[in-house]
Amino acid sequence: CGKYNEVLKGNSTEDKFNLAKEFYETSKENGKRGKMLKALRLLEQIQPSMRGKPQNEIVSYMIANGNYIIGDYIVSGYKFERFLKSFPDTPKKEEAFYKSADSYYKASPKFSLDQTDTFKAIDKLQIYLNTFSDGEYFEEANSHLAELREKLERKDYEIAKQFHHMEFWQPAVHALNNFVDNNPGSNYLEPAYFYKFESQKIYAEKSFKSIMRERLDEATEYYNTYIERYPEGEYLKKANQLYAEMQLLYNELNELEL
Amino acid sequence: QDIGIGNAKEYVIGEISVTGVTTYNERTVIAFTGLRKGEKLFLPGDRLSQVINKLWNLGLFSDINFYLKDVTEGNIAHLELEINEVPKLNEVKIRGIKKKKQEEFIKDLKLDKGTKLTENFIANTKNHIKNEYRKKGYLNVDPKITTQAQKDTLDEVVGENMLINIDLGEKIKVSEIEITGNEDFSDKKIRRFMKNTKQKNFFRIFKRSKLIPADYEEDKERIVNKLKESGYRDARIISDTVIKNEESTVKIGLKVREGNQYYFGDVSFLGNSVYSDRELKNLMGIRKGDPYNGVLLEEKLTGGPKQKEGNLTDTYQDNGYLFSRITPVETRVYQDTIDFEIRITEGPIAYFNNVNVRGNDRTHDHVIYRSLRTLPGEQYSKKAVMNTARELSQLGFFDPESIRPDIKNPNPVDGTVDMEYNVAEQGASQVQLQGGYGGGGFIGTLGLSFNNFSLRGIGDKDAWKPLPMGDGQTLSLRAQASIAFQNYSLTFVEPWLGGKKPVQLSVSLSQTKQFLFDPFTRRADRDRQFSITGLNVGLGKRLRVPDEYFFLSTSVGFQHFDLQNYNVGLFRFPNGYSNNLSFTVGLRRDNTYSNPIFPMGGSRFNINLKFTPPYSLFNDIDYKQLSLEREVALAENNNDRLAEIDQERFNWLEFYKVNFSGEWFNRLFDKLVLRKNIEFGFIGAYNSDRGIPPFERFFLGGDGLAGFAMDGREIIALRGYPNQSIIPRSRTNVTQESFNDGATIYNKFTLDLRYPITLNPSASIYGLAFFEAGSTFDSFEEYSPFDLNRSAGAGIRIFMPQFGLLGIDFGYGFDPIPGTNTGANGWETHFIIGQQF
Repeated sequence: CGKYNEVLKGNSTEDKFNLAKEFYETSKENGKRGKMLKALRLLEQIQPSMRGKPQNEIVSYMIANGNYIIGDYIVSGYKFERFLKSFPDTPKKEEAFYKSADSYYKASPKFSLDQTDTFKAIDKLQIYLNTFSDGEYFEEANSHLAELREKLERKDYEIAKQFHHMEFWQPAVHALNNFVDNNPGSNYLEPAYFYKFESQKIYAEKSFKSIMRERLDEATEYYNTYIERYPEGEYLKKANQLYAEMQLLYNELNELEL
Repeated sequence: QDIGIGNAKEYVIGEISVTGVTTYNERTVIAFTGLRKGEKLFLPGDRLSQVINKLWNLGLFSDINFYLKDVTEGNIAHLELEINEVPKLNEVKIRGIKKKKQEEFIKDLKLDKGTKLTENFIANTKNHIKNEYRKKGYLNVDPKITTQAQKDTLDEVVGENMLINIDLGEKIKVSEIEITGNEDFSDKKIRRFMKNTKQKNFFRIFKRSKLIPADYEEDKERIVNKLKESGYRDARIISDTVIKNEESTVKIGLKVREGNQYYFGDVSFLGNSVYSDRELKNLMGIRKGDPYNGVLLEEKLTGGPKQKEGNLTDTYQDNGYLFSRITPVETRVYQDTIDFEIRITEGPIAYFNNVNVRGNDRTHDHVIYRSLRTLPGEQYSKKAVMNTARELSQLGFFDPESIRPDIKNPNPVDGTVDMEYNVAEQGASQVQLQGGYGGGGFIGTLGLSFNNFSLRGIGDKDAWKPLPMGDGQTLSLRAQASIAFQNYSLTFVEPWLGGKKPVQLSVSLSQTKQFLFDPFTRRADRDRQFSITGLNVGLGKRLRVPDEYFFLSTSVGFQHFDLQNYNVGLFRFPNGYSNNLSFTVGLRRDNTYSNPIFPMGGSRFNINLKFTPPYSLFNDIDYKQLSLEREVALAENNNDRLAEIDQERFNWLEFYKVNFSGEWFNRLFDKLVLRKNIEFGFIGAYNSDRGIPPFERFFLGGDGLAGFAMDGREIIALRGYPNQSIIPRSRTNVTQESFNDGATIYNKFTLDLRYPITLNPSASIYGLAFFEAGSTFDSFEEYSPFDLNRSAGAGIRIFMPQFGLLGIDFGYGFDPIPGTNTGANGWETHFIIGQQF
């Protein structure tokens, strides 16, 4: 790669651009990372001298897209954003818009980690869908959006469920309740309703006799909600069994009061 | 739109010529102005002054003038623009201060080549330097800045050279501080209130007596505050003078007015329903007749700027009253007494609603949420928030400085509040690479420790960056090797097995190989070796009953010893094997507080039981016969037969072992702490004929540092005696088999008096004086717990987080070393590394 080093150290902007373009195109074809990294290095070197010139648009685009191609999504998301800000009338507006959103989508980590990028991706995808209602990437954007929303729901659900798992019954009831309120269309709604009921039941069971009835009543309410919503639910059998156990507790309380 | 001024006339612009000193070409400058040929404008007029303004704002020119050169027919005005470009900086020279300081100024002031040298810039530079030195007490500093054009060989100006000449002058010192107007406070006392402005004094070594204007101003404020704290709430400094004495000293004169001393009067409370007046009064601790102290009052109510504990606000906040407000109101001032009413708005109890964590780019939610002490639906408590922040920092995965609990959406109507914990991941892995010399050659150690490992992530290709992380598990690998010795180990720890409760699972695997080393040829004989392969699985759990200080641990360990033509001194057979399968149950209680390095109170108890299966009960081997045969073989010196018998005895090790220790810390006064410690250990055999194996025994004496040993020996410190020297007194070295000298019973008693020199987290230092005594025994028949080897002495400990605990002790042994009768053992010096007495 003697030519690359020569051009890199040289002073000719034109040579640099031409070589970068060559590398960029080959890498775009065969997806080789090394070539693209070289192209990016050249482009970043010449970009400052392009400021104010029309060529800056193509250089900025190539830098953003290059990072996107090699999978450096954190950089490409940001670079596409900058590109759109600098060249609001670019013909590549839709593509840049989508790829910026898609970069954040691809950078969005597993549900159990910090979701800052997910929120950003959701915002961007939503704006894309609103702006380009018959855009080229409409379907992808839509399915990405659904996936990310599902991810956030899963995060909320797993956190609430963890309180149940750790046997913190009252916090579990509270957190699952919040989950149900905040995610009315979620896939996790059924288990959330069930675990809310189970947590409340155990919470009541472990209470002092003097307040047990009140808490059992609340559990009964949760049970009713569950069977109403999911009369053939996955957890129905378990729910009925817990409900039967509650009746025994009620009997005990009634006897005590007599 | 141009507007003419006065009796202006309208012109059409003709030619514009540019004169003056500039490096820009004429067309660029005209483009800057925005004036076009043929444009109409008034002269004099608004348009032209706007252009001048615009040029000024570029900051490139120091002089801008328009001239009307000529007016030709049709009112065509030919203009001349005279501009002088601001000179650029070429080179800076600073004289009169040190090189390092020069570079600092050049960096701070951005004195780079090409900087535009405006008047303003030069003035700023001068002021900056002046202020910097005034801060250090050089009140007479006088920087002089001169500039000079630098020309190149073609006589063109390339820029200005700047010369900064700094004459520091003398540091100004304070010869005397004269206080006048004070009645109740002595001059000396008031001078002591001044923290950074001091009189010159021969004995003052650490504190400067320089006069620094900013500090001086602060100190004046400090005097007033100090007086106010003592009840003189009208205190003022009426006047102050600084008089120049001779060359470099000044005399300060301060005139103060103390005013009257005020006292607290009645303190009443209004609006409190949760706490009674009496409870609040006790908490405040301010009594009628105490000198009035505004700072104290604030501290008692809100904690003040230093967030002192035990204030009223915290009391409310720790019990859910997030929305409470406490305001003191002066209700009456009569003569020198002030009555107060503390008005309290309690508000509703707040409950946590949503609890979120942000910034965990690596650590999974479940690892963090299990450490939270603020759960949804629970009552708000400031203490719980602080505890959560502490727990999170103790995980070691996050930068402790950047853990920030934020209160979000406080809603007094619903009585709810959201919590958000912001964290920033930090590196949790350690690499240890080490080379050393010892044991007859070079020893290399490579240790890798991943403290936030994720076992689940191993199957997930995306998680390898570079290693699966984020589940809070620990994986450590260690390899150590030299010519004659190799050791490999792998340890895995899951602190929350199953994720329900903090049940710790640890699994470790290790392999050690020792080759016979010939010190003369410096070669290891690989055919003659001794190896130990071990596996240990342990479970540990914090208990809730009887109280939360209990910790129960259990473990199963297996070790396989393999000898190939190698006599280690433990066995009578050079070829053979031995297995050690043992179970350990330990119960610990530790409620020491509050600094783990230097506990001021509480106690620690530890009871440990380790045992192997009682093989001799069911394996139908007549060990009595065997022991008789062994005596015969010993008498006949029949080594082959001895080896055979010992292999039979030690194929599976059989023993049980009990350890107990108790430790108490008592704070005597101030920070003087008394530590009392008792220890006891016993190892026994199920079958007395099979005997206690030569493993796991107790070795008492010396610094207690565990060196390398293959036999699982327990090394116990006893200062004032050489290492491992306290053998049972009943032994007379002649008749005992000398290869096995570990004891089967030991006890030890210690009294320590400790006093901390500093408890700074970056380096804690404390001194100690000790008295201790201990002894070892071979059997219960000989056991006499008060037949002790006594010692006393003193030492010092330094704890630094990077190095652990280091220390040195000097101990005097009052008794002779067992087995000798030369009288008291005398002084011994012990170096202590990484362990606590």
